[in-house]
Amino acid sequence: MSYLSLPNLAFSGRFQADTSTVNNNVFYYNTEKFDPSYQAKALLVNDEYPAVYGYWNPEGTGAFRLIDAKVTKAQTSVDDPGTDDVAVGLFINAQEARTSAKLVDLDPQWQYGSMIFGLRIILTDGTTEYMRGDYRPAPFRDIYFGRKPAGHGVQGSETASAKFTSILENVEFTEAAEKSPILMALKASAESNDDRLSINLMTGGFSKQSTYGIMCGSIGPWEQGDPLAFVAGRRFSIDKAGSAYNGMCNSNGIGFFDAQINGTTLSADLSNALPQDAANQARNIGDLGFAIITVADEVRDIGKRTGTAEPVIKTGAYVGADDVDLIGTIPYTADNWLFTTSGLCQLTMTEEQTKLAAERPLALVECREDGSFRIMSRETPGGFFVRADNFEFRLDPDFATPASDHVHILGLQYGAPCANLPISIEPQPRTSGGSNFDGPDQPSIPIPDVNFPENKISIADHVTTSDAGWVSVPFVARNPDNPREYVDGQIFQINYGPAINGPFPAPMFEMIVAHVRDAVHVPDDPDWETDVAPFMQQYDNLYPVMSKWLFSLADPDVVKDHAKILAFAFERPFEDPNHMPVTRDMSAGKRQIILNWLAKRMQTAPPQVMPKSDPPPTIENRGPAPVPLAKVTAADWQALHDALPAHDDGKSMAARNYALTQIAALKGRDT
Amino acid sequence: MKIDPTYVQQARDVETVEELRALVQKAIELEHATIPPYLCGYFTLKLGTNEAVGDIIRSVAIEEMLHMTIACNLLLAIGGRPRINTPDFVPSYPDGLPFGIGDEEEPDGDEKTFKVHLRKCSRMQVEDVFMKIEEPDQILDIPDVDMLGEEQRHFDTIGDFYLFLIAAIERLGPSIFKDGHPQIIARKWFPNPKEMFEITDVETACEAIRVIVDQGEGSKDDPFDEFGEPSHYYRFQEIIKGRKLIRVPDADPPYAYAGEPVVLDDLDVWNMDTNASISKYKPGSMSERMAIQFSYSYTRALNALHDTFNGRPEALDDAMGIMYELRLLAQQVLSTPAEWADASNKQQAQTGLSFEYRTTNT
Repeated sequence: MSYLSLPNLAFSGRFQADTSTVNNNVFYYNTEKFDPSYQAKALLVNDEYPAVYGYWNPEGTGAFRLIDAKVTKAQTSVDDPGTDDVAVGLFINAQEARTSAKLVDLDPQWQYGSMIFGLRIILTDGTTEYMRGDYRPAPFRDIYFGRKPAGHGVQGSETASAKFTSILENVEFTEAAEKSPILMALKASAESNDDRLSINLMTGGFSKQSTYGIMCGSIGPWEQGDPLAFVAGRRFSIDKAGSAYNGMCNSNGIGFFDAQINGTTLSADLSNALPQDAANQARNIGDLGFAIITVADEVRDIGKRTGTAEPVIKTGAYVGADDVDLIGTIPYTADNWLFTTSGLCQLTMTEEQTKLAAERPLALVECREDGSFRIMSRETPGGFFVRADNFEFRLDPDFATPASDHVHILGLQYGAPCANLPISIEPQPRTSGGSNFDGPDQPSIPIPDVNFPENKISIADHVTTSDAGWVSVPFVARNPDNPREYVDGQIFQINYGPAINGPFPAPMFEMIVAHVRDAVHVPDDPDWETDVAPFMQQYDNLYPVMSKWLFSLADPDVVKDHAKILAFAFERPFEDPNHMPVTRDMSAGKRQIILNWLAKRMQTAPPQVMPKSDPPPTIENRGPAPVPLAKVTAADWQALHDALPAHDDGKSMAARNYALTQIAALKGRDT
Repeated sequence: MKIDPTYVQQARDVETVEELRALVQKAIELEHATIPPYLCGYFTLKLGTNEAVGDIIRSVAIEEMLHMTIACNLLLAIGGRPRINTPDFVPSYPDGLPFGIGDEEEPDGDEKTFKVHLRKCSRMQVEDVFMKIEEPDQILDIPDVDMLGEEQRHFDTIGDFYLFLIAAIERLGPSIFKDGHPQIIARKWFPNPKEMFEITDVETACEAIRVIVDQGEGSKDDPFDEFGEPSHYYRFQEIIKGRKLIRVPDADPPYAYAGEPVVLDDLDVWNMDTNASISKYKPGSMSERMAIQFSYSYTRALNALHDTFNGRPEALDDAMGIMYELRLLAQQVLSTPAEWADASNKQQAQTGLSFEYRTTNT
């Protein structure tokens, strides 16, 4: 089950991402070379930014807010129009009795998985609450640059949309919810599943000048055993053969998306998949429907080195009625369809179709006037789908004790858990971390490399799924010992995917990424100048809203004056929206240093935020992978690079820059 | 501060604990009602400027938050439930304040002159509104550096209301104290045990009310409260006199506005739109969005406080977090030029801080 299964609530509205942008440029982490002009806002002149300065929102607070959000549809069955339940029209409130949620990057050199922390969702009619739940922190995935046309001041990340898929935890319903059959059904589901529901938010149509964008989403059932941050279902992937391929969408302009079959109902989520027009609506690309491809893919030797899955009927193919079995069409060109339905499609299959769909790939098809079909997008070859449920890590090794964690990966075939599925795991080689800006006002300093020293991270290079389809892969991170010099710790990127020969391209930024922080000596009585000032000055530079509008974190007297509130904020867990620093990129050791310093000033005992060190797990090296991962080539990165506008700032500039480093690295490797 | 004499009369006539609870709820509303005008004063001072003035207003605002907390604890101690997140809890400025504040007739029948406006910080706002709010029963004649005197005046004030409340508690006796929801003894935020303590009986209840009166109005013969700070009226007067109030041991009286300078530079004050409201701004404009966001955030603070005093003490941390968010948000609001719905805005003012009850961010 998941947010796209029935029963579910669809909602839409706007969002605000008031993120600080000074930290979008890795150069600005260099405290010695920092110039006050890097905190100035870049001005848009003739739809371009002539100078970068501190990008488009240097004084951002990190707040992530939902605005004008309302339930638009509440559907129990395929035939239910979803307009009758009392839940329709309820407001989706964020927070209600606490500070705003926060949206933050993992690191300047990994801006492709911004994570929401501390978001509480509340359904209310404005007076009475119906339901509440806490969004489990999860980053966006499947970012799709270029989904909306560029031009007229819209550029870079303003053309993008992405999906935040997670669960609501600690879900509670009030008596008022008893009036709503759908809320009662969701309540029954949550009560037998750890008080959890599934949730998705699609964000897009962002304006850097205003910091607002459009949003739609849905809430549906979650069941024990389901992933926490993706849909265990049928994955519609891109096809590298497409001419417009840029790693985010296929040649028909359709991005990655998910579907699920429960009983005879096919549920699909097109919220982040269909190309948009300038008004953020789904663009008319023909009469669309869902179908089953009746011709089996070529699948052989899975689990062996020769294991292969190749599609026979590919994306872009024109086929007759014998090759596909149409399930139904989707009214996506209806007025405001995307924001009324949140892009969810519900179709009923016949018993025969249900049986067939269990062993054949699904497709999104264009239904042509002559009775033929064009494959607009299709399921992964052989229905094989591998995805990590947790893939963004913040780790704090000590000098002697490494940090460790597990990546939980699920393997599926045609939506069902797939046992003994081979998975390759491949830490990426040393490369430039990018995320800098080239310009006359920029400091002349090196761009730090990432993924080194290679021996600081250990993970098995090949695993296979259990009978339940899951595999938990331990990994160990040792103190990287400051390889990036002016940026704390190191970024390690790890690719993974099914070890099957065939076209299994992952979304461009789909990988396991860890920010492994530098170990740091934590004195009981830290000295401001030597122990605290270096990193507090950096934070003060990168997050100017504090010094401009609240108080300076670089001045020990001021910090002492605000000791109580700072001690409170620095000891909060990441999940708490009050956590400082907002960016959540300060190591536990550094936070412990500031807490120790504050405690001395307040004459109290400092709270402990340093993690307890458990013995690291043993990494079982299971031998060489039977087949290498599907490789992203230099040409793929070049296509992505070319798809992004040259004169932009912020995230798409970082992406463009990152693509350049990948091109250089892959070309080097190829020769 | 002058209040509708009916309330003083009600405090005089209290016979049951139910009547007492209703009046303590009113006291909570009163203590809260002073906070938005003070926050407007404080938030409109541009950061890094006017620091002495900012310290004064901020310190009074924090004490008003303390007084609101004490009043909530008192209500809890006598078996009541503070109601904080209701539409009628939030006053509309400049009319509709609790206790009929700002509604009194002027003696000569002229137009009413005292209204609690939400305005930017200015000497006029401090003198005409802040000092009026905090005006004690009897104003002391304190010399300033120029030895200027003050005429003696006499009022019925909120202090009288609290004194009758003490009398009512003493009259009703120990039976009114009950174990209810936990009180808030937030040492993390209010570390002084003489300011913040659990109210369990007649003695501690009366002592708690005396903290409110003492910090607010001071005593009749000393402008300093028992914690050594000038009471609110005299603290605000420092802004008008331009000097801190200090003790001058050998002089008569032994205190004077002769301390460190207190300078209010009007150029470093945001030109905030007076008495802002969401409906004042053009629909769909950034002004309106800012007003909605600010009001919604303020309402969230009230929700968190309501939770705090209704069985979830840990929600006070959330309330503190929202207060800091309001501080940051205020700067975003104040840096947004006001776009009025009627397109006039001749003042060229910035969007104002609207303290409205707004349960959704819509």
